[in-house]
Amino acid sequence: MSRATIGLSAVTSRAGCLAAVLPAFALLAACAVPAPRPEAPAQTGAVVVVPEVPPSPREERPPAPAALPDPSHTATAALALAAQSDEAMAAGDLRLAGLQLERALRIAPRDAGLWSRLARVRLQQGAFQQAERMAQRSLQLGSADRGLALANWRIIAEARERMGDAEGARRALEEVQRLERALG
Amino acid sequence: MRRALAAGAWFSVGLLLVAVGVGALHVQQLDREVRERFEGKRWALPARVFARPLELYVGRALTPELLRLELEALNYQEEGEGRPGQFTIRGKEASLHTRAFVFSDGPEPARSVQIRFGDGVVADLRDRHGSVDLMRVEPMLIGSIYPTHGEDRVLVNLREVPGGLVGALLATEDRRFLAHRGVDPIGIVRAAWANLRAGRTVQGGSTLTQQLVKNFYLTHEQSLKRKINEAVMAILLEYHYSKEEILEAYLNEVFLGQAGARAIHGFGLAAEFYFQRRLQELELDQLALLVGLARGASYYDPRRFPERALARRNGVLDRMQREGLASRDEIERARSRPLGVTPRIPRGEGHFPAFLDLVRRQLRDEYRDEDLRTEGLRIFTTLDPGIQLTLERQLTAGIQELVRVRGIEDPLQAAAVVTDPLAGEVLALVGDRDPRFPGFNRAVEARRPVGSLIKPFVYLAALSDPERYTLATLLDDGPLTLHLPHGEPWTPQNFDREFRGPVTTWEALVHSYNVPTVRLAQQIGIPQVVRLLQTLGLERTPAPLPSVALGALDLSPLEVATLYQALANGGYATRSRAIRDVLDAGDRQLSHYGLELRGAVPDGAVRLVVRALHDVTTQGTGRQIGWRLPERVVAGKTGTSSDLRDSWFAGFDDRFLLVVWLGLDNNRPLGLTGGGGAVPIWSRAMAAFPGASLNLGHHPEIRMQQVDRASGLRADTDACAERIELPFWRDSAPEVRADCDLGVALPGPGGDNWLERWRR
Repeated sequence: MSRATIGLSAVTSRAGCLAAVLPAFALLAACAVPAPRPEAPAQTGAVVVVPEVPPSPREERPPAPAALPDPSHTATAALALAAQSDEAMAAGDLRLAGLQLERALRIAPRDAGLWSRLARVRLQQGAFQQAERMAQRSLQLGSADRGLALANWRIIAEARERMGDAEGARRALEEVQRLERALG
Repeated sequence: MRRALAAGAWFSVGLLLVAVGVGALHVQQLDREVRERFEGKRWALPARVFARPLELYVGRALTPELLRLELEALNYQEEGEGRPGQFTIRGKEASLHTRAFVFSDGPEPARSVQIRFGDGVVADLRDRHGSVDLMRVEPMLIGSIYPTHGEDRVLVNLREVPGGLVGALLATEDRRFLAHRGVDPIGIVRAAWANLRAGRTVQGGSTLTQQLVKNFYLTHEQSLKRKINEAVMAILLEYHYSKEEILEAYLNEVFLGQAGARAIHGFGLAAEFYFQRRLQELELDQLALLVGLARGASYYDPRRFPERALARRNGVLDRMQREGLASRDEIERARSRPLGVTPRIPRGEGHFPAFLDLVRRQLRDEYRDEDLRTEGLRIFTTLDPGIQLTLERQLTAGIQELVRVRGIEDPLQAAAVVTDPLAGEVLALVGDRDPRFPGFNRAVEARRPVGSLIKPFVYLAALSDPERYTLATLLDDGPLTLHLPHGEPWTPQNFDREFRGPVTTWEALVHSYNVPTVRLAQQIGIPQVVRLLQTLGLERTPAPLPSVALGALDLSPLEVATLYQALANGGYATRSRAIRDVLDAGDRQLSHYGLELRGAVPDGAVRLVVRALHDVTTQGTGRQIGWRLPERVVAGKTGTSSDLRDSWFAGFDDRFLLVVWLGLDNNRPLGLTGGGGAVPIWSRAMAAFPGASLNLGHHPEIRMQQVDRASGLRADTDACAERIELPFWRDSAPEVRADCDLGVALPGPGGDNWLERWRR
């Protein structure tokens, strides 16, 4: 019988320090990301492109009205799972941590914080491409939270580096530095 | 003479020694057989396939009706004293008593909770300790994958078997079980005496151990040799193993019923088979009935011979009373109960043949058939029983109505897929107009021309380049003839065979015009469209013909669902998974099919397409949805293949994606457009799901701008006769104002700053 195996990568110190930053409170942060203009729009002949930079506002303006239907409700159940996932991760059980985040995401599929957590679990499991995409998805969903954006760009930078995409990692690190400066 | 006698004696002794030697060899052989079988894997256990568990938490979309549907599918019983497997629903309140269950992420305890419903959601969830954050009801068993010999069983542990069952079994089948050593001479004498007095066989003298040996090791031939082997093996079994081990094996081995090719073995499965309960939940009378079946499951079959079965059950109860295993009162109460066997045989093959077929296909990549049939795997799927049953009902009713109203005479066929697009999970699947029919699975196997369902991807490919294309870009809807690679001319037509001259991209998509779509696809290149489809999950490479832009591409409903998921999911492709986890018999996880994000397209471009697809449902080819489902913001697209052979609708709200296909198996024209056939069915099913409106509001890179519908140019005033407000991605709104808009004076730049906002 075949078994699906999950490769466990060494937990890096950087991934470790991300733990502190990742927010369960993603929706609370209010200010807009002072991001530069996105890179040039996709060229003709390359429509299939993930935007490199989170969707970025061109001007300072108040955050969008809450998109989620009553986030406080779904959050309780999903955040309970997120907390359990943190415990599993602290105990080194990445498999269980991942399962709990997937379950949480079925409850709150647009919670940027949950996507970022799962990206971190995938990074530690050595699933670098999924880590990068999930962090991108988190950026897409939670563009107003700079702390979360910073965590996501760090994940992206590391995932790209581990996949051998030095140039991509460098661009991601620029984002990290920009956000670090902005956050002081 | 003496010598002859002596020689004869020696000969006899020699013969005896040989016989003993041969006998010893034979016994040794039997001994090996006994131990090998008992210590190895004793039974081939079918894989069990489960639906997804119902998750309960405050805020979950759920109605009392859907809860009832789910619980009834689980065979939960209404009312009762509040034991596991029971529920009550009164108005907006429900109480629920769940069973414990082990999932891939750990055990879920049994719970007793009170639920209060709000408007389509769970408003409050608590048990006697206080509010409950999150819980799961145990999942519905939706099918099993049997060993080839058809033996089915659910293993039970001696520790979890009700004491009453063991008592009743020993009282009836083997009173001296704990005292004998495999064979019971006293029992044989007693049975022989009883049979002699009665003049017929009324009692058996074989012990439980012998019965186990008979079932476990031997064929069913009746011969002295077999009888002797049986006795020897019984003694050997007792020599090697404890009474507990032997009893547990018996409880799991004994044959207790038959349903078609499926043989019901062991008390664990028999409890489900006859009562749809777990063994631990059975009452005394129910246990007594099962014990009574051990002697002759066909003869005492309670569904076919209820009177015989009732007499047998009461006989077992009487014995229990004689042995002092229960009080007179308990026995009297048990005797007075009806048989209580559920009339319907739980269908082992599964209630949902199309979905199970998909599960098997997805398992085939990783698991050998043999393992599925023998290893006792537990397979956790994504099926949502409430959604599945709702879809089946709506599809069946919708087809009936359509056939009646339209007077369709050919056997109209249908297939439908529901997914959770954000998770990439298949929630429901129907592959035939009769959802229970386990035949050709059209949702997965039938690849049919998709017609205009393909158009959103042509437009998405274009709109991904906002410097070239916006929803206001004008396309030419004038006569067009293309020369195909083999030289043949091709002149695409609009559905109504009219040409409208220049039309906006928005209008061409919303009203599904063919000619401008072909022109657009030519401009961006068909290979580009094909690449986009592949990024979003198409696993084939269709020939890059111009007609691909009009859906001359055969896809199954499931493939369509996979492609549309990316539109519902911010541009991220996901697979359409039917399986979450595979666990082995010891609850270890063998496979996990997790949440996965595949290729992606920019979500800004996706948002533009989704916005147009929403307009399809309010003013375009699917506009009936607007009045059939007025409360919900949804998006989707009709599809009609040439000569009206296939009628499609694919669309989604914030939670569910539904694809409906209608057609005829003989591929003759059906006479229905997507709007005429699939749309009404799609709407009624979607209306019955606990969905939620799409949020088409704020997007950080999108601005709304009013444009003149005819020219696609900016309309800052209300001077133009027909204006539409369209979303523009990355500052791509038209800067040039329409002629009609310039015809009037603009309000001066004082007072209101709305103008500044438009012009920014």
